[in-house]
Amino acid sequence: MSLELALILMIALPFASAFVAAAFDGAPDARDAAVGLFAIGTFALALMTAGEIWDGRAPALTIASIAPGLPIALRAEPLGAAFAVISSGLWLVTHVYSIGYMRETEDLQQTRFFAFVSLAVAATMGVALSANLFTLFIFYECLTFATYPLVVHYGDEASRRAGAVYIGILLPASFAGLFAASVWTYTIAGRTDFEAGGLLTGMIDANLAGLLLVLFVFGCAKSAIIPMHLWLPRAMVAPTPVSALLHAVCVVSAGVFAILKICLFILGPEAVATAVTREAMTWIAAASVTIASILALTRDDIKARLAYSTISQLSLVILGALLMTPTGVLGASLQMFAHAMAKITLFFAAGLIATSTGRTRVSEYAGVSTEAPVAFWCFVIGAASLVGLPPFAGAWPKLMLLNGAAEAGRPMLAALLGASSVLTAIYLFEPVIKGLRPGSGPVASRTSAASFGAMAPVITALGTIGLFVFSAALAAFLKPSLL
Amino acid sequence: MNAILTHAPALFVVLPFVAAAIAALCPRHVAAWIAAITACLVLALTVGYEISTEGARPLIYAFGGFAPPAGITFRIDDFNIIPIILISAIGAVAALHTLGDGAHEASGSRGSLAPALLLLEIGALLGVASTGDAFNLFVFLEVASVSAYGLVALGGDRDKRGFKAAFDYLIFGALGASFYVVGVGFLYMSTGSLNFADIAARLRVAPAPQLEAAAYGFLFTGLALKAAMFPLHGWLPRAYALAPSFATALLAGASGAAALLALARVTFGVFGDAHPMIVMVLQTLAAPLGAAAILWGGLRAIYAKDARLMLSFSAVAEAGFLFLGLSLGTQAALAAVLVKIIADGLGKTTLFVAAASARRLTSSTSVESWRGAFARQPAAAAALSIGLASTLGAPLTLGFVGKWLLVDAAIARGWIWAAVIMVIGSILPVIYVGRSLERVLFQPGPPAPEGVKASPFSIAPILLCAAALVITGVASAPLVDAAGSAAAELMAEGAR
Amino acid sequence: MNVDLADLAARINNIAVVGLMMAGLFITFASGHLVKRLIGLSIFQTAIFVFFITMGKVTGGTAPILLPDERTPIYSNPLPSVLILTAIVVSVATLAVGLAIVVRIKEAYGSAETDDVAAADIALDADAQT
Repeated sequence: MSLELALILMIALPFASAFVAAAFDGAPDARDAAVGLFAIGTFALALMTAGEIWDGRAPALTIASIAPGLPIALRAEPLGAAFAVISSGLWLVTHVYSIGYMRETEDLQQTRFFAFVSLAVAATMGVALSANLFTLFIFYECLTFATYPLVVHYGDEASRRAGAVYIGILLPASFAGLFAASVWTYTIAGRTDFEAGGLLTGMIDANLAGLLLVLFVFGCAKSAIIPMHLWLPRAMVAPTPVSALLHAVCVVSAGVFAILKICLFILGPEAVATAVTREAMTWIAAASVTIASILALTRDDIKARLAYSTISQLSLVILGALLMTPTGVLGASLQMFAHAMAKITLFFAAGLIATSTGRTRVSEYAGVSTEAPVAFWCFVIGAASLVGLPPFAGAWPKLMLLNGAAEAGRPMLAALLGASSVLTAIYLFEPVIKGLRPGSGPVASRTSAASFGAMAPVITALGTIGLFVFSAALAAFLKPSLL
Repeated sequence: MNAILTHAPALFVVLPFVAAAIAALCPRHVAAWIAAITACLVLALTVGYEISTEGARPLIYAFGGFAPPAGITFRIDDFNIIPIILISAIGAVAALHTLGDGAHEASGSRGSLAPALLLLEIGALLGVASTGDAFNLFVFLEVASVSAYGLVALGGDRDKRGFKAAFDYLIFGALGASFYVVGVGFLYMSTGSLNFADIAARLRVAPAPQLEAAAYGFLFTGLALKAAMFPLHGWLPRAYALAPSFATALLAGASGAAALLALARVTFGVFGDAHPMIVMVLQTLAAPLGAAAILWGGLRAIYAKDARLMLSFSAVAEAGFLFLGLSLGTQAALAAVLVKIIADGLGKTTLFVAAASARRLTSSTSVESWRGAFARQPAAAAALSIGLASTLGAPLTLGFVGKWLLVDAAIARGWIWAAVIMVIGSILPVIYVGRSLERVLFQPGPPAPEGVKASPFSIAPILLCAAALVITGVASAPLVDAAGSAAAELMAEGAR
Repeated sequence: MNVDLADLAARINNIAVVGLMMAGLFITFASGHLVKRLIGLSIFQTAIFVFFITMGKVTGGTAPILLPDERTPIYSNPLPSVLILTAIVVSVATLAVGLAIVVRIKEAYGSAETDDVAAADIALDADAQT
């Protein structure tokens, strides 16, 4: 199979999967099996593409052309390919988990759920594989539209309001920020290709670089940097697999991925370093890390706590991108993947605990370790990884970000990073410690522990360990993309 | 065949006019069929003409063999061929709609008037787009307007406010035409010619600054009234909201576009973008008023509960985009305006026809009545959704391409404020389009009443329009190239 | 300010045209009756006809008739008059449509007074909103 075909198939397979899911509406088993096959296929293609890149090839493909310099084009480079591998892999795991979750909760709109998850993954693959800013913008918007039905899944008043906030923040921000800055980039350069060293390097002065930086960072509101984060906690009304997907696979990850990619390949290190707003944006990202950690502490609902944790952890990626030192950028990239793995584990575990013991609040967690031991220990592993403890995936990126801050001569930031790890430890180990205590019996006993879906957090928990072990290989793989 | 193509420009106009006279005398069903067949023929003719004259344009068609500047000419060039096809396509959609879900909107003794007026309107709008003569343009504008007043007044049979809307439209439309003709008078005084190309040539040789300034002032005001530039748009929302749907589909899609096209031709083809009066009017009038229209139309659309009123205010905002785009005065901006005209025209026609089909099943015109539309009538709802997405400027639709090109042109011109207004103007639809799409796609609604079905004569054409919006939104390079060369040609004409 | 009376006299047609146009516009918008508003519109359009026709006048010119002998007299420009012939037709058509619409308004609303119709419209709008 040619590499170009693999590129387009990575988007086409999940896209087709949506229609296959719709076609098997009456036969849930066939539907879930078919979507699973599509997920396996996508994951295999992503791995294959990554392997080709490892061998030094760079597949590229132009799909259509809008105007001179504005093609819809795909190109696989290490960072995007790694994102594609992680996203498609986690889609597969999420699918396994969703099958159990959706049946256990006797959901009425399962087909719609699976169809739009597939569409969202298709859009995410598009974001990952975009060869230029224009294509990235298109898939970024498609992602917004594809995930909206997932957010409003339950169709009640709260869901609809969450959906309105979701669209009401993401779309205007992307138009005012990402769209405007993309057009501006096009006006200046005549094209929007992602180029090593930065497309706009040498074309813009410090003021314009500063303005574009602000537009890009806030325009990618999916990254949930404060104050664009308001949609994220509200979107927690969606089913747990959706939350897992939103945080780890599709939306928030795609947001920070876009920012990382834009900083590296559009603005370029030089422009980011000289941008007049860089200092301010760095502190906004830093504030985002800290404030979200503190807010997480105050939340009793476990999903809300994890939501704020996402804001905090992924603002670290933006922070790393803004540092623009080799170690900082590498740390930021690894943090993105490590967070995805750890956060999806936490959501799976929290979801399993909720369905099997009925406990959704941190204050009710006493006794969880005995009632749902597998889910609980997966939760512990995810928490440890997010805090940055070895031997879990989160350890390396935390260390590198610290190094990067030191490298950039920013001891204050380094201190703040340390403090954020401590805060993370406090808000994530609180449920763990509570869970170890003996409980007073299940709050509302549901059906027996989800059998099928229970595998999912185990897989991803092992993944966090695997990612720790293979971090050096991943770093070497990413190196050509980075500084 | 060859003779048909030679005389095609005349046939664009003559065919609908003759058919209109016949249709008016026939029973209602026959008249509707005549209108539909004629409109489709005209569409085939315009497309065939475009293909057969590829590379041979500009072509001058002299009526009766009288050579310009004395004789009346049609001028078909790269600039107006795209809008000509657009107008005839929209005309075909509207005419087919009278056979479908629009049929019940004009019944009784006036049943055969509707197709006849529709044909007159199509012919006249094509005349506006094709003519190369300033006074002839006035005549076509007035034929178009008088038929439009009649079409809007037909809406009064269902809702008496339609009569008043038609009356207001008439007052503003007649004033607009009058202003335009005064401008033509001044042009004639300064050059002694009525042929656009001839006027442009004579103005270069013997400029008459004061007369030219007066001429352009009147021409601009008149055409701005016809194209509903803020704050001269007062007649538009009610006229569009209360007219029968087939009339609105044609008017919203094509009539504003034709007036704007005429304005572009006068502005850039006759006076040229460097003319001091043009620069002054564009920068101090068109730019701020266009910006105001974007904001005002967008805000009013948010507060409109009636779907047709919402779409009408959205049309006011879109006219604002076009005026702001024209005021940039660059070739890239003109090309962007052309693309946006096509996107808006196809989008608005699709939306008004789809809204009419939706109304067949719910007997309501409010946005709320779109609840559950997708479950009831998936085809109409799909067209509606794509039309709305294009209005929003969502990627993969032509509306997005137009928006991108316009913002690009604004930044390239150095008018950051204009780019900011355009971006705000593309955020406002998030609210009303988002609300509408949520109703159409995600909210449950009542089931379709027994025995009432949307007609394929309405649905099939708008599905084609919606498909065109998506196809040109994904692979728009040929269209963007054509718009670019069209703009280049018009600019060159004025710069001679 | 020095007013050149001779110059003013030479432009008396333009002054008349502007005066008529203003009067027409005022009646079109300020009149309380729909028929009167149409009359205002007609006055406005007639002013434009005057503008065109006087534009074509050449001082000392006669009617543009080709004589059989070789003399070529000075004659007025006939083109504006011809144009206005068309414009009059257009204006009559517009007026006719306008009056027809007023008849329908009178039938539907029971009045052709601007205020009555506006009040009825506002009431109907309020109904439609609820």
